Amino acid sequence: MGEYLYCIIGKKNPQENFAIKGIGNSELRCVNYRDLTAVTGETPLREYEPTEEYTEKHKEVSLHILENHTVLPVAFGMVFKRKGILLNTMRRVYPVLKRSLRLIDNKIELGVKVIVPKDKSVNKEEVKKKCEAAFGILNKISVQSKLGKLFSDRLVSNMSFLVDRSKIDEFSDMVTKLEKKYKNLKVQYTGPWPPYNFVDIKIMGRGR
Amino acid sequence: MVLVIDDLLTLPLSLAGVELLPNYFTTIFNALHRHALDQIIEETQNKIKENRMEFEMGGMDKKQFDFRHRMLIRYLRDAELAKREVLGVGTKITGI
Repeated sequence: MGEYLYCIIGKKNPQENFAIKGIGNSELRCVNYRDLTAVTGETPLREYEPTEEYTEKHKEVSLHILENHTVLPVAFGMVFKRKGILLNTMRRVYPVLKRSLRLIDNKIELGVKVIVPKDKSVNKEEVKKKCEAAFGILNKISVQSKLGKLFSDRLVSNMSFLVDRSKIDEFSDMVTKLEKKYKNLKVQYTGPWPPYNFVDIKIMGRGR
Repeated sequence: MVLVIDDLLTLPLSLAGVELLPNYFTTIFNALHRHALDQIIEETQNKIKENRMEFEMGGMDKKQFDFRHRMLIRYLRDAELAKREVLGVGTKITGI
């Protein structure tokens, strides 16, 4: 059996029983290193295919933890052979983890996509310029923003915003105003998410 | 007319230390093959995201989404497997 890693939180000994189970119906547990806690579940030691079932469960656990903690998200499929190896890894990357947690402390990620409806044709360049102005306003409310990939022809804009929890309502109100302003477009507003796009820690090594 | 070039013919042959066919010939084709697979992988990853976006926007029901998602994931796996194999296997060129 191995330790499947879901996320890391900046708190020692959260002392809570997580209300949900992990992959394979495993109990979630905490592995502490100094003032950090890795949230894990005991799972069979193998490579996990990114199926809908597993990725949804990984996401569900991260979102559940996010309700009460600042979450440092971890890529899907990280399984450690032993708790000791996980602890060693946390020791090695501790400064990086601390720096990242400082950046995202009390913050969550919100996503805004502007999409051209299927039955409509618009001047994408014109719409893009309008979006840039609108996103300027959202940028003022958020700490950071990142431009995402335009993975679809219908996607005019794809942005991720790192927002302080205290500003979520203000951000949401602004998005609602934008939706009303650009009625001929579809605005997809998602979140809160753990800040996937604002943290990029790679823990490599087959031996984990 | 179909011309088949077996990778055996493109391997460097040396006779008494003299190279009869340069190794870069194989290298170029492998590089092109890898590049094509990289593009397929990227396009499939985009389609997976687009599929999810459509579902979340209400453009399809769960059944349609699951079916298409499974199909795209399988396609992505095949492309990734092909890419891994091309790193270790010579190149066959057909249809010239």
